[in-house]
Amino acid sequence: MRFEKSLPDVAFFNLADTVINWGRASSIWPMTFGIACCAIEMMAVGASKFDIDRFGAGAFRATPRQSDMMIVAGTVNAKMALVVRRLYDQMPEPKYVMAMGACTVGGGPYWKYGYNVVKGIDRFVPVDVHVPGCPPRPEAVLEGLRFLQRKIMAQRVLTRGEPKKPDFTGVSIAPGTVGILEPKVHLQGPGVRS
Amino acid sequence: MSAAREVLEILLKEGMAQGLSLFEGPQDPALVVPQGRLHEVCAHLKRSRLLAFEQCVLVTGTHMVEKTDPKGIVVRTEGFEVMYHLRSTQHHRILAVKVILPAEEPPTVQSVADLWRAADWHERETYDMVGIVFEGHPNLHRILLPDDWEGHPLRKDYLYPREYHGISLEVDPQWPAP
Repeated sequence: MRFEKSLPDVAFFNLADTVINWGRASSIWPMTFGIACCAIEMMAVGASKFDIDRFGAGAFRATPRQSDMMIVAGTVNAKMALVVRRLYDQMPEPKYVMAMGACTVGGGPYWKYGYNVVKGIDRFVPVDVHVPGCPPRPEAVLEGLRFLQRKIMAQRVLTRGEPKKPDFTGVSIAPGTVGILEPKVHLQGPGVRS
Repeated sequence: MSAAREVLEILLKEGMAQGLSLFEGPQDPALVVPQGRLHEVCAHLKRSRLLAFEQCVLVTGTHMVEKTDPKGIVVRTEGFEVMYHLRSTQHHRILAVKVILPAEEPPTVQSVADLWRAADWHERETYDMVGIVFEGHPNLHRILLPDDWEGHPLRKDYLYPREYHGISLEVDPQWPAP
């Protein structure tokens, strides 16, 4: 977009930002891929009992070119990391990454002796939401999605200026289970409740 | 009588038992075959009417380190072992065939992939994990790890890789906090 992050920070353009962000946050289309056992829980999130479609993220796309969010569900080993990075590169902007499960957050059980496991996918892709657990409950994935929606709502699309602070009040279903982490900054260990 | 003893007796009768011995372990004994005769013995085990081992269930390799008993006597020298588990559905027998290889680089053993197709991928996995080279294998390259991986992970002296194509594989010393 030509005006992206170039317009003054006034009420009208703020409203435009809000509308654009509302559209983005309400239709996060995830990519259809699961690497390991966390994918089973991801499928449960997509099924009728937990129903991720309530939050507008039920359209699992079978191609990276139509998807907005990559749920990395499962252990990523060194051979797979190159493929995951390639999928991420093929997604159009704006794109978001959810690290689901202990393995993608920090290596999980393979943290010390897994010679081929990448200890956290934030070593090769920027991660927006970390959802710890082995595997996480479907509620935790939904909570991570709601965290991501709030994060998207705080984005600046047209206006320039300091980044806004996301408002996470009232989001957390189970406090301390899901964390919004900036890339390369760890605030919370896998499965550790603060 | 265990399967390995029966098989050894049949092999003695059929004149194929030069250099063969039994490895007495806690479980059933295994048939120890010298390195150079593996393919010949395996071909006989498959084709003989009295033996007829038509299935190769498993091929595994182990890197053995030197082991001493409490008195300080060396009971096992460093080297490699390759195990073949064979099954005969006609005679209801399961046989473990063992080849003991010296600690030379690379450890080499004859391939039996031309006798049992199932041994093909098992031998590739053994090559991938332990680094045992199977001579005469039709397609011997890594099966699980990427082709440009360095080292064989199930060796006892394996060093963990620090990075792969620019992605760090090192353990982060600061996280998770103890």
